[in-house]
Amino acid sequence: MIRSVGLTKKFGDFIAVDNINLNVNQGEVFGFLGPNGAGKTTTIKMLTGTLRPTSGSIEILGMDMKNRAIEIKRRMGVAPDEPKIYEHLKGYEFLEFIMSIYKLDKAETKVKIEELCDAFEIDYLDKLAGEMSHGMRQKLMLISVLMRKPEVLFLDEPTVGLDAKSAKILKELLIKYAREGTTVFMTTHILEIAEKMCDRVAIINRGQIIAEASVSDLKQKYQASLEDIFLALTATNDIKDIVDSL
Amino acid sequence: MLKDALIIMTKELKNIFRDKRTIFATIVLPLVLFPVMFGIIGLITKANEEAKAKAEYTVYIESTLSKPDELTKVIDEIHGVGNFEIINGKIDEEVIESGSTTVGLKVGKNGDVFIATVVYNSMKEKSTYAAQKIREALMNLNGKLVSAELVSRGINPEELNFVQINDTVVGVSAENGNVEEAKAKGQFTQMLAMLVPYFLLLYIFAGSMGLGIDTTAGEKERGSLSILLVNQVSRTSIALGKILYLMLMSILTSVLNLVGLIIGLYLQMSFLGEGNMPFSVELDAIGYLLLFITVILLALISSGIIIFVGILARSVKEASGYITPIYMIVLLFGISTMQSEGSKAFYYYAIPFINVIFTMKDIFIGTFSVANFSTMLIVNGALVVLFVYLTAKIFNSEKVLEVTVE
Ligand SMILES: Nc1ncnc2c1ncn2[C@@H]1O[C@H](COP(=O)(O)OP(=O)(O)OP(=O)(O)O)[C@@H](O)[C@H]1O
Ligand SMILES: [Mg+2]
Repeated sequence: MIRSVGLTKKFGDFIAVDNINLNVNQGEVFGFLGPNGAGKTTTIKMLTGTLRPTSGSIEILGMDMKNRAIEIKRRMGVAPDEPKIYEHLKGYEFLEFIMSIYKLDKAETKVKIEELCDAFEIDYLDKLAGEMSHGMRQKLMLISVLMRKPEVLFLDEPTVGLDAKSAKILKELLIKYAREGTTVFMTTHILEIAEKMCDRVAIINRGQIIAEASVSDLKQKYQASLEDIFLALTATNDIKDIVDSL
Repeated sequence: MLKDALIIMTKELKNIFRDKRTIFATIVLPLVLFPVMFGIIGLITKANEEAKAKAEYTVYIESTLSKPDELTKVIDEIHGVGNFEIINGKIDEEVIESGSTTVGLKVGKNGDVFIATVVYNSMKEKSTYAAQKIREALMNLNGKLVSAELVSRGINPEELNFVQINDTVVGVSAENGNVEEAKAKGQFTQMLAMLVPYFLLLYIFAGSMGLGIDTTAGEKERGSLSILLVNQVSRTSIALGKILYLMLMSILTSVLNLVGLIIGLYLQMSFLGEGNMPFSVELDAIGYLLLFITVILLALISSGIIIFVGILARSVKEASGYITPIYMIVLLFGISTMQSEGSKAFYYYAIPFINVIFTMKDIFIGTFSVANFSTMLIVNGALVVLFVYLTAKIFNSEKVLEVTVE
């Protein structure tokens, strides 16, 4: 479903993503973990066709991103880390805009939108995006993606800014979609979420993948919680020492 | 592809018309600014003229005339043209220089001929006006003396015209053969030919500049461009949509500016004129069509350049830095050609922007030629296509779009 071979991105001399090989299967919830600046967003941007890799190849739904980007984008959904929505558009106008781009069936999508709005407690679609809070925009962005029922979902820190209930609903919804066959690729800093939701995770540090396995395999191998494993793999200093020294 | 471009364009339009400042700047301002500006100029000039006509003037007369009734004749004529207080005596040039409504007249006679010298201060508007009126009075006197002389010789002055001149003003038509009206129309047309191309150039370019930078570099800066990039639209469609949007906006701006400008000029001239200024431009349907095509080409070429440069830039600041020099050049084109008449050599019509100015002048003045117009059409059309192509190409190049200002 999602495949990358030797994926690399350089910004000048700086290597943000270094020779990454990924393999995510259909219906899987895949967690992409790593400390700040590790290269998660850069990887997602390449996988979703917003950023061209310096080298390496990407294959989504069996199609090469290089020459079939539009076809891939039609069947893929992306919720970026920052919900940047045209500030002078109202919520429903933004949704209509997305609907017209994808030529979605209006009546059918309206029903879907209503369901999602109910679930996420969205009652502000007639507000201008510029006047919404970060979390409100985040939810708007999410439903604009979910209403399309894409086959592959990329979510960059989707729970950031969401209240507890909305976050919970999102998590449940993603698991449900995955069971129905949707492939979910998400980044998160909340390891609890990764532990509960993800079938498999990859940990990226300084542009390189340092671990990739199913959550249960990882826990079995290291005999520890995902948080401890993550910290052990990515931390250079012992946290207790750092806190003590402050 | 075109359908997606139209969707993008619609979105851009929706987005921009929510912005009250944009609505004000693109729609309200041109319709109000020009009429108010030219109206005020007209009113001030009119008030000025009226003040000059109403003012009381002092004329110092230094006379060497021997017969008192000759001086009386001169004074009578002066009273006939305005509000003059007469002071007889030697002229002190300093007094005339320091006063604002003072003027001097030295008058004598050489045989049968009156010799008059008008003394005035050319730096003072009213003194100049008074001098003008004194001259008028003296010419009236001249006319009367000539008539009297002719009558005394038994000649009817009316019969003395061996040449009679009537004006027929061509190029502009007057109703009922009214020559004065035709002349006024001609003046109005000349003014349009001078000002309209200049203002349109300025406003279309400046207007598209702000919007064009916002929709390219601005979107890059705000990050909202990425919404388009992750979704199912080709980059060529995005480029096309943005260009279409900007072109539409600049055409709208140009039409509104044109309307505002014409209303403004009309207001000004009707304040200045005797009241019934002809509010008609001597253009037939084809003339309007040609003008419209020219204005649209101007809008298209401006938006093409602006979008292209805007998308190359990484930030709004950078984009302004690139576009301002281009704007300066365009401005210079406008200023340097403002006074020239239409119908220039062929190569003038091969230079973008300049060709638009001269084509508009040609259309107003009636010096239109198919060959020149076609040159303008082909040159500008080709440039528009080139810029659309380059913009689409650049949208497809990752280098330009991936720059994120964090
Ligand atoms: N446009 C860019 N130009 C230069 N460097 C960049 C650019 N985008 C990202 N980087 C660098 O690449 C590295 C990876 O950034 P990235 O945003 O992928 O990290 P991340 O894993 O998403 O971090 P976070 O958890 O904070 O979101 C960082 O060092 C960042 O500074
Ligand atoms: Mg990130």
